Amino acid sequence: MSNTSHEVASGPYHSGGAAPSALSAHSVSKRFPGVLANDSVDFDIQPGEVHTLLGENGAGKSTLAAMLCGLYQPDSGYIARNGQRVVLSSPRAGLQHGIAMVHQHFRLVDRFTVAENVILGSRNLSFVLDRRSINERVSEVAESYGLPIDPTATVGDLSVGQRQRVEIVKALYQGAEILLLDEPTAVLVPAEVEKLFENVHAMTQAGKSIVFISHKLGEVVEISDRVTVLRGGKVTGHVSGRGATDTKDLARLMVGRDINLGTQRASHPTGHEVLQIRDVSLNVNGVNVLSNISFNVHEGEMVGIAGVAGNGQKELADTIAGLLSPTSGSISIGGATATDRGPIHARELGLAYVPEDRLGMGLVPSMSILDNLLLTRDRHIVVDRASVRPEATRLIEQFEIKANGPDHLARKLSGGNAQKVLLARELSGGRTATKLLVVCSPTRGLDVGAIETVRRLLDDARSAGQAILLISEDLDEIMSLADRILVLYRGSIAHETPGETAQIATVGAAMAGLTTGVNG
Amino acid sequence: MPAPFRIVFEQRAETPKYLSALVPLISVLAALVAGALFLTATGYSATDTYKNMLDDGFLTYRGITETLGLSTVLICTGIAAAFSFQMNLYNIGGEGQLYLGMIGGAWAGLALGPHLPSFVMIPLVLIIGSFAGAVWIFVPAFVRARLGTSEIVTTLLLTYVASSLLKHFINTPDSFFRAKNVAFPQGRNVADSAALSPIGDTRLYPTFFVVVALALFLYWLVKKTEFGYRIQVIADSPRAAHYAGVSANRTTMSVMLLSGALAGLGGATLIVGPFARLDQGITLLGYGYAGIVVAALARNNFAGIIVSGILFAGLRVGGEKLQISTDTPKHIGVMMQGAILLFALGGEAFRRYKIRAVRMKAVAQ
Amino acid sequence: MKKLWKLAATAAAASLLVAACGGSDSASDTTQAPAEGADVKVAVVYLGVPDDKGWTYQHEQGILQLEQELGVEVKRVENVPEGAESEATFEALAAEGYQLIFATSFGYGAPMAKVAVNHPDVCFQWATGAKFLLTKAGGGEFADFDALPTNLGTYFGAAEEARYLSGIAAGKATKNNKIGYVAAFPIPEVLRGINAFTLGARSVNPDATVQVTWTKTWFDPTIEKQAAESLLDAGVDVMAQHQDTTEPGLAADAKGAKWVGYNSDVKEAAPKAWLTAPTWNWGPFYTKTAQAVAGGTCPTDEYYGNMQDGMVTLASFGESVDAETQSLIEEKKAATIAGEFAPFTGPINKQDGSAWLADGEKAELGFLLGEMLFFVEGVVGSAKG
Repeated sequence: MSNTSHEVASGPYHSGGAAPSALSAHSVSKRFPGVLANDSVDFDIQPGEVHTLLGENGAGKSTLAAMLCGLYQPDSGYIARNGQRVVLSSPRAGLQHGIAMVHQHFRLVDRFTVAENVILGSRNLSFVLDRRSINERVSEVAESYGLPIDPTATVGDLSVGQRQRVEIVKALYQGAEILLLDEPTAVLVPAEVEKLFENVHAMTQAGKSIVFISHKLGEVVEISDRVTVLRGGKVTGHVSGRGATDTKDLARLMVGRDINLGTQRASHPTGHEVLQIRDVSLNVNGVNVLSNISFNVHEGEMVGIAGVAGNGQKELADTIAGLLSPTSGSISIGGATATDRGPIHARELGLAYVPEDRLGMGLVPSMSILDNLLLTRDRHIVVDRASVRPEATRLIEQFEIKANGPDHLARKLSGGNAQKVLLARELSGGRTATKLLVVCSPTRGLDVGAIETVRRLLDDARSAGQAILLISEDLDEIMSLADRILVLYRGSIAHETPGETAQIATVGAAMAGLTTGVNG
Repeated sequence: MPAPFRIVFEQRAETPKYLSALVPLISVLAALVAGALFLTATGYSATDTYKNMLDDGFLTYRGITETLGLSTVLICTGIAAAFSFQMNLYNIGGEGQLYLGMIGGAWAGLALGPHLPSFVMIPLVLIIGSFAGAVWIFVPAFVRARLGTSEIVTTLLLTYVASSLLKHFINTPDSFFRAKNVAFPQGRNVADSAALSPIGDTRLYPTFFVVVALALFLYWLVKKTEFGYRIQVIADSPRAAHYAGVSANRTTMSVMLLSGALAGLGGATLIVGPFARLDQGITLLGYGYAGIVVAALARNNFAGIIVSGILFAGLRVGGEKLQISTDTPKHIGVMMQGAILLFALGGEAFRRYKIRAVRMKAVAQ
Repeated sequence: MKKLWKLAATAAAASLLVAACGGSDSASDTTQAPAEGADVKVAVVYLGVPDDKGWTYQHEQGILQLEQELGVEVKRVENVPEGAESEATFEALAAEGYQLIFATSFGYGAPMAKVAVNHPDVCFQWATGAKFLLTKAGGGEFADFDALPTNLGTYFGAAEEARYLSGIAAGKATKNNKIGYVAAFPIPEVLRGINAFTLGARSVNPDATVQVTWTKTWFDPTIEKQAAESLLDAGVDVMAQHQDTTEPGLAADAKGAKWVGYNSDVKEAAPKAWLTAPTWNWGPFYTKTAQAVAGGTCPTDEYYGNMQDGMVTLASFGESVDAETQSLIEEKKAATIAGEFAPFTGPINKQDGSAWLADGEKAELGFLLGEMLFFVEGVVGSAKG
């Protein structure tokens, strides 16, 4: 580890200079039943700095952030603001100290306007609201950080990125000097991420401090002045410098070993057509969700469907899986028609389907791993669990699923392990051997270690000759995995390109609806 | 000055096993303590009252056999309710299906009883009673499965219709069900072949053991069979069911119809058992509604319903006898039943949440 | 069937004699009674609560009298629904050592008879009951009269006598000749009352009609009130009832109509509306029966009291009943008690105008108890409910 550019923490870390940190944590620990979420963690941030908390799910970054903003109190150690020790007994107390958190799940009232949401929770409201002056002040605050929003718009009508902007403006309006952004890019499309980063710069220019919480290595390197890496509740490294570090080093600090996220793209020739889609259209409640979609997926080929959420990806997957009946057109799997025959028939033809929604669609949360394996299989009148148990145990081992055994409940699995269970079931075949794998956002929300495993599993399936349809909003993933890329825009295929020669700018533009037509 | 503590509810990630067993127990104890306070405040002796309730409900020969006898129908309506509840369907019309079970059972006992021997008639009455209960829930089940109409409203409304139907069959002058040549409107006794004898000099009928066996069978059915598996999938995640090609409509229909049949069976056990005829008195006893309570106490666990059914029956038998063995008015017994239910349901909060008193900390200035 | 009823009637007639003697006995026994009755354990089972100002209230008055005269404390069991499940209550009372149990509602009969078989040393008394109904022929579970438990008696009385007298008050009071009657169940007991009441009303006002509404319940304040209001909406100006609460009277009072009550003298409930009411006086029967049980015998008659023995009485008159009407009623009352007058004496036509009783012909008691399932002329409504 000595060859990396990080410094192992040995005490409160200061980036030099005598000025007290805007906010710092000194040896804070927090214990939850059965887990030490933070173990003597040190952290500090300067005015005008972006300091990232990097770590896998469960590494303790959210707990640390919660203590920094007053949601939790440390069991030992303390928090200091401008060098003065403070006790933040609640988020409101945090706010009084100029610390605000922007949560991953927004806490906005959909029916209120932007301005109403922004002033919600402010203490100094006069009884009668002077809407015009409030709107003006909200606009003023927003624009001073390059966050243009219409204060009179209703929040329910806004896009996800715009809502996030409202949350940030709200924090700023309430006088926040230090903003904690919890996985802010998780919900954003590439263009929105770029916009967010611009806003972050504008805020740091104005002297605000940003605590950026993430597990996405690329963006961490791009945005951070400094990075604190957590693993298992402990700080494994403080790394400084924007772009000065390698994502591989960060990944090693995060995971504790070397990580390889690349895959070998179809090096071997593709075989027969496994999935054939001909002129499929789908009309739901009078809206054309899919229009005249035609494409094939071959044996040993992975076709990626890129697109911004809500352009028909989910419906396309559901239609192929037999959950929705196309309004017109035909689907065949392995040469046999699968149109309008229902999910069980599709599976009998060799379909396996990993839906985007793991718990609640792909898996039944209240059921055990064993029972979840049975979900898409043939069950006898009296469910014969005993004979499936050895296979369950084997799959848990083979897919490196962290569980207490086949009886471990699905809802108690971490996101990555739930995804592995789902893949284990779908890849191991049920009614027949899997020929076609439809998989949606397979790595969303997973940490790096799990992403590596999932990508390897998909790769192995491709190598084994299965046809794979990968539907994802994560453009990076599609770019690095797919043999062929199709862009879905408003229910039509807006762009097609081989994976190897795909240009991110072209694909991104197609996703935004800027080009039409199918190229090569 | 603000309170130095505040109460914090923290959701438990997992309910420890011992709590699942302990909470109902503590709930009952808490209800008894609350009841004792009330009894004492109103000038009755809590110890005497409880001793009497315990004796008359569980400890005497007469008491325990009465309790087991009453529990027969309560276990039926309890498993009827639980069977639908476990799939997030709320059949609260068990009361009405129970009446239909009585009507169906009485019809069989009157029309077929004279022609068939007892070993055919008894099962037949139970089957036809169950069938009648299922018929009564058919429309709510159908509109729920097809149109998503709230079964809570429809099953409840049909209970009132069932009550009127029962009264109609008893009161109408030329009704098939009405005792002939009897001035006062009352049900006609079913044929002897359709009536079981109680065990010894008790009011406990062999149907008790049938019902207990049925509850255990349902326990097995839900845990071990494909049908139970489907129920669990649909109850937990309808979308997962759709994904896996499990028909929610069909299972909804099956579960609702079975729920109605079980409540109907409860009515039929009354026909082969203590009632032996249509009896308007049933509308005042509320056995169907009590099934909802019994199911709730057992948290829809079929094996648990055997216990909660007996417990609830014992409370009722003991409570009914209070005004005979002591001077405590009847409503005290009823209030005790209500209190235990309230505490049992309140106890759920302890199972799901950890409740702590947290010392308030001042914000540093 | 008819024979059985005659049998019942004979038994009833016999019991009248017993009652006549017993009545005077109990009066003379009063002074020494406490010592004699002190060791008898008595219980009474009520359908409702003792303060319903109706049926149960009136039984409670009788029980209070028993307690006072014999110096015993009677166990009261309230709110016991009729039907199979009441068996547990009777069983429990017998097991607790009660020697005499009064069941004050019709629906207790069959379950109580079941319990009586198992407790031959306990004396059971069934108000409004008829032993015939416990036999197979009557829809019961016992083979015949001989198979009945020998420790079970029934008791009731000829309310129709007082019904007729109260009908006179109603016939005089109505201005538009429209009288309403809220009635429980279409059974002989109730039909007898309606018919006697109608005959009384039409004896002084031949144009009067009595409109009947069925509630199918003995005791339900809400339903009784609704039934009365629908009659009042139909224009009746006098209200009569065969129900256990005062709700029909209160409804009548609210509309300025007059009211003939039932069971109890509750003039104070609606003094302006009150005319009078057929009432019950159960005290002497209860006292006498308890004394007999204390003496070691259980009366097993089908006791049928009347105005003569005082089981049936007429309540006090309301302020709007004029002196002339009062004396008319008193006159008829004296004749009834003297045995010179019976309400069901011909000529009487049925509701459809066909003849029922010829001039001077008297209805048999057995017929009245079991077979009066029709209305007489002047009643509006269906006798089938």
